[in-house]
Amino acid sequence: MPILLVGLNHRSAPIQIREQVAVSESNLPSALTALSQSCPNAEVLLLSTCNRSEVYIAAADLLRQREGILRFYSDFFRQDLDVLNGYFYQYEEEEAVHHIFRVAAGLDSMVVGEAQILGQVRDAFQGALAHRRLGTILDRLFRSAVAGGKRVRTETSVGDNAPSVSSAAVDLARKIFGHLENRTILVIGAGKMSHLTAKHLIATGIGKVIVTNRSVEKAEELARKYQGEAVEFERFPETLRKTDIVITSTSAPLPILAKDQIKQVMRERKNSPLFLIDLALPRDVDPAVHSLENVFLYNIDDLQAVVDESNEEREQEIHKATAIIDKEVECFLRWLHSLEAVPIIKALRLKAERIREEELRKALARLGNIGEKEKKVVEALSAGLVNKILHHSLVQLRERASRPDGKECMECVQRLFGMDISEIESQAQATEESVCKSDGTERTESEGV
Amino acid sequence: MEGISSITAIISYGLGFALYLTELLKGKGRSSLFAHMLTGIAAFFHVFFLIFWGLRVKACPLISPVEAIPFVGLVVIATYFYLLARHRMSGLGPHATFLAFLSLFLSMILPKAAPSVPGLASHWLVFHIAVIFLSYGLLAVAFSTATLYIVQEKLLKAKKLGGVFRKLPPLEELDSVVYRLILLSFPLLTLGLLTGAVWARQEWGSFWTWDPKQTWSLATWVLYTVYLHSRVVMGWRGRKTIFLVLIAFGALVFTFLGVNLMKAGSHQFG
Repeated sequence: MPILLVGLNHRSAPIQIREQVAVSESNLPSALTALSQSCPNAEVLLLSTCNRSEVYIAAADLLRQREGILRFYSDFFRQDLDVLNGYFYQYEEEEAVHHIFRVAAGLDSMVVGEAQILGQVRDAFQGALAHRRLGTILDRLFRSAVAGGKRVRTETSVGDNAPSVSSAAVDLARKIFGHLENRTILVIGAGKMSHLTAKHLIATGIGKVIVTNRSVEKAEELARKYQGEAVEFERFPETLRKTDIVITSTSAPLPILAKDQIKQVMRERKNSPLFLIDLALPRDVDPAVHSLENVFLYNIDDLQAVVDESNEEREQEIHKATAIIDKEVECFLRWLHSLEAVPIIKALRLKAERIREEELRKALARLGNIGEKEKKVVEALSAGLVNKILHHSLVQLRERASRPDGKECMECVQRLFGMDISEIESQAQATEESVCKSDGTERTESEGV
Repeated sequence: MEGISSITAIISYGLGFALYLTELLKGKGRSSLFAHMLTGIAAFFHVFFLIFWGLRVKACPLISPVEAIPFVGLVVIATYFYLLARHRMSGLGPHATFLAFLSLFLSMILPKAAPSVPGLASHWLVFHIAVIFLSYGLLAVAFSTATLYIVQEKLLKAKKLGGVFRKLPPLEELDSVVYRLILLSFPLLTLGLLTGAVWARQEWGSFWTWDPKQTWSLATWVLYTVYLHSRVVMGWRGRKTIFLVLIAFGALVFTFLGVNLMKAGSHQFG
């Protein structure tokens, strides 16, 4: 039974559109009801987060279901379909399977690797489960996707925060000082970068903040913002003795901190480590300062290099995650394809059973008046013959169906046993409908798995 | 049983070491649980080994240096587990497992001491050896931590912040661990030196004879004193004080093994 996905996400649609089709948790049941009315005879699941809205369908007639999904979007959200249509993407079969696995692993998210989406996928699955609109296929698909997402989370580090210059500075500060609670930070100048970095550092619970600026008002304003202390620009070198981390970003044309000055400061600080973050261009701190013992000077290029390196490693982790997903998708598809053999197997069984009944009837008629015991023996003989002959080939058929050459194999079986394809398909239709109608029982079955 | 325990411990330490080292160099692989478990198993057999040894010789297995080496290894491992729990210092894993491995290995290959000289079996001596080797174990961990400090500082200066760097604890934390370990072992070392002198007085009638062992242990003690002085009294920090720790441990190793290998003096234990 084919799988269809229609939806939009943060890449295909702007926020104005996404917010129109967002479904809150409390609205989910009514949305699912509306959706299943638009898409009868189908397994349905609705995944709605602030960055995406996607409908997953497993049904026989995808074309009709696609129209149903669009009708759902236009009716339920009262949107103009012509507008929406431009933002939708649509995937079928393997592509749809691949997509949901990527989504669950966080690879399709705005912030790649974020963990929230896994919970959201699980919630969407639980919602559809409660609504009894899941059959064997979507049930298995979402269970596998959530399991795959978990694997990616534990086996790779794509979930680590994406690095930035300011987060790199904070990481470095932690690597030098450990806990930052008792540390003092001095912010010189008021560049945007230094503001971001200072904010980042303060968020870690740093002990004390000192701010200085050529303009006293500006310094005082920033000090209020950081809940710190303002110091006159001329007097900031005095504070260096008690400072652990310095962020500079002045527009001074020449360095404001020279090597000799820092050397003197280090003597006064008895060599306890000093972390200088120079975010100014041209640079505020003489690069030679870095050669002093226990002084660590990082400028914007150094921090950017750290970010680049982490990005490279991140790239590798994403590769690893993709490989995991590919494996999981393959595993799921093998299972899915093995389902294709089900109608043929059923038809074959049915055909054999009909022949058996026919021949049994003839034989019994010819034997005339025989006892119950003899009748039973003949009946058992026919049943035994049919089962023994079919058993091995049915097992093989189920196994072959999941392989690439499965289609050929199934056609071959049809020819061998003289079965009509259209007959089989109508049979398949009948079984699918029974799946959808009895999805309550299907559900409990798959839950037991 | 003694042999089996020792072999099992040696193999587990070896495997733990290999695992810790690959993890450290790769800089990734978050869980060292398996390596911790291996080390735990090794430590378990290590203890058993010492107990069986003690039962066999019917004494506290500390009488000769060869016997005391596995004891030092156990002190190292115990300290490592403490630091692991307290400071998540898995970066010390390779050092700790290697030292423990070495301690058992050396005790296997070094010639066993002859039955102890009657005069040596004094309570003073057992106490002397116990405090000395306890402090040696702690100082070995301090040394290992100091090497991590040097590596970490080098990487920060070179601005190479991938791989190994990520596995190492913060610089200041390394510095403070080194300091506290030395602070803790210093009284033991001093006590060891004093009890040694008292015992020498009992045996040879003189507190101090300037035999090489005594001279070297005094030198070691002085080096650690200089470190503590610069740290506590002068308040100095950073690479230079850490270098002092490395040098002092070098002197310690020489006191422990080097002097004995030179086969001179009265610390030859028969």
